[in-house]
Amino acid sequence: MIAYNKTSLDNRLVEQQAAEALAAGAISQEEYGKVKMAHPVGFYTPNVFIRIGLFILTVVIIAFSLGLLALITNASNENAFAALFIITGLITCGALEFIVYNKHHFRSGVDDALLWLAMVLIVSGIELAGDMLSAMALCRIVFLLALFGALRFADSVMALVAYAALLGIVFNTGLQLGSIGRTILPFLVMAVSTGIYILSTALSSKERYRHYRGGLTLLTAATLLSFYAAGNYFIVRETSISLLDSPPSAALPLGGLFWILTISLPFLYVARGIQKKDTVFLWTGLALIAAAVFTIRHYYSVLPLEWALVTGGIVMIVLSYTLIKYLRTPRHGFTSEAADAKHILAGLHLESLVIAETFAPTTPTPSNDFQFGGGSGGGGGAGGEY
Amino acid sequence: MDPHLFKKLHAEGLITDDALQKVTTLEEHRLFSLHWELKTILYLGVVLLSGGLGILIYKNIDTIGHQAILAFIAAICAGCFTYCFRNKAPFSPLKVPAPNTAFDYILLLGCLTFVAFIGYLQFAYTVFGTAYGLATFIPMVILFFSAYYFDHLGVLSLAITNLAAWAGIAVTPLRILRDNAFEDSRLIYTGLVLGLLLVLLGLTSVRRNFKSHFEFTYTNFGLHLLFIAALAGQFTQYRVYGLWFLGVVGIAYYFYRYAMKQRSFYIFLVLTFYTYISLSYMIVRLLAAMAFQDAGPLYLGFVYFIFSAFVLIKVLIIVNRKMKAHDSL
Repeated sequence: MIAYNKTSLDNRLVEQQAAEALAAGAISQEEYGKVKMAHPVGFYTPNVFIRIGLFILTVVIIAFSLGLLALITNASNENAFAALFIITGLITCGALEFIVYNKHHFRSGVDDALLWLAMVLIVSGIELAGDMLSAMALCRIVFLLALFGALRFADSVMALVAYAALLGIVFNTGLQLGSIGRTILPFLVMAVSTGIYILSTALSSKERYRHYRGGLTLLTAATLLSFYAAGNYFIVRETSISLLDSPPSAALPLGGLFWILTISLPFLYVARGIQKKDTVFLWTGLALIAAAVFTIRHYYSVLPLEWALVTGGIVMIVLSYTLIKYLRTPRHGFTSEAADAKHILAGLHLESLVIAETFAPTTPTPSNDFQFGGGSGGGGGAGGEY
Repeated sequence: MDPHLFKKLHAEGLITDDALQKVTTLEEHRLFSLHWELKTILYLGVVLLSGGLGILIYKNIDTIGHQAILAFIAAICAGCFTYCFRNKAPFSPLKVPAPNTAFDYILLLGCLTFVAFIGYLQFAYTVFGTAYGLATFIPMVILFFSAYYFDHLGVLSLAITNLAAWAGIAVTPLRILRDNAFEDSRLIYTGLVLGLLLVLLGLTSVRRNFKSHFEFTYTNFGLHLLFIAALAGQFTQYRVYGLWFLGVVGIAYYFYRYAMKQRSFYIFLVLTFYTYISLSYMIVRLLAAMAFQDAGPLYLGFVYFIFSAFVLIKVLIIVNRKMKAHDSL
């Protein structure tokens, strides 16, 4: 099913593991070289910056080719454009297969761009041709196409798109079921999230599906997020007001349950992340704590903003500082020291750029804002030299 | 690391018994690193706290009074710098690692409060009168001094943005295009001079081997500033846009040699795109200047973009191979 060369994919995994072992000091440079020789990767996978460049250029080529085709064929009505989009999409698909088969591109930027463009072009073509397709039909088409893309090219983003489309299908099914469907909609989404979560973790542990692991990890994170979203008071309430036409003043049925889910789920995620040493749970949980805080603050003004910021900030600083100190010597299998894997972006000194951006000085402009001191400065500011 | 895989590699005779043993022990005693999680929380905490304090002060300015606030900021600043002077490692022109994790953050806080102090002084009492330059010049000197004396890349970036602010340009990534009015030709020339200065500073730090690890930060700021200033020149000074294009090519050539020497994919990508934008602008202007009775130039434009993108893809792939080949040497 996977378009890429299987042996090369396997050897790539071997090479990654060997590189990790080399960085950890478990194997020598010589051994690493031997492993690489014995497991050659036949892919063209450039450096990440080149990948970005190739991606943009591929988009440029396809966009202008589409424009040129439209010029030549003198397309003027919707149907002509629909045909043009679909044909270009199919050609893009062909180019993708060619690049992968004959040029052995793998995550080179070119294959990513072609896959996404093919998807966008074909879906927009169908949408144009179908003349206002129903949301349900659109979700089904996107789901099928994205699922195919995810399976054939082991693409993580396609997996996420397919999952989003699946949720769209569930949502629309719930709407079609009438008032019962609307009430159980959040639980339907939770059930689907749980189902896909179980499925993706099960598949992820299977040797057979090793090439899909990256996408499956992302999918797991997405299911955690969608499960939380389906239980979040704010989201459930706002959706029922805007999409399901319930009056804004009406109390949300089962409101108490949704409040419990809103507040407890993030902490449960974090707890599980720590218990199982699972990064996906940990990060999702940490991010969702912020979501829970925002939800509470949206409905209840617990504290004035400035005091909320100050107390929140102090709690976070104290907590993280204590943990950093406490875990400096590793305890219970945790450490606060950096893992040895070096991040590619570290070379860009990203942190220092972030600092400069957050605390950027404003360029001095002589303007009338500077009149605070009063006295002789007023009004003359604009003519001042600086 | 997957122990099964390494057993297989061992069976293939690719790794020694010793290495296999090491991998299994490492895997058994694997530590779960919370480094980035904790650091992120710490950083967010600092941002929230300072934001909250800012609002608090803003709301209560009448009861607190400017002097109390200034004294408070000055106290934090003095405290931070005292700590840094007491705990710093001895100065060396080479890279000096921070004595502990907290040191870098305390220094940063000291520098930021110093900038805030000067800014506040000017805001509340107009101490520097209309000599606005002085209000950015003093923090800049202190920032450069701190960056070199305590060896801190973040403070160096702050110092560079302050230097640019002193010259009248915003150079942080999000503001460089938004906050600058490039129609003003003086701004373009200032940008060119400043960019050149930064590149030279980068070169000097390597040549003299004086804090040579600062070089990338200087060059990176200089690179973007030079290109953006030259492109702004090309876009705004219509009559001589060809000359500006030559300027862009010249800058690109310099950085191409630099990227090859440093084997920097990042720099190569950046220079390629700036040059591509410049070249495309030239072509589009030339085509637009042709008679527009028929659609011929329009077709040519589309063909140009398709063809040039193909060529650039080839170039990127070839250069990538070339750099990788050097990599293995």
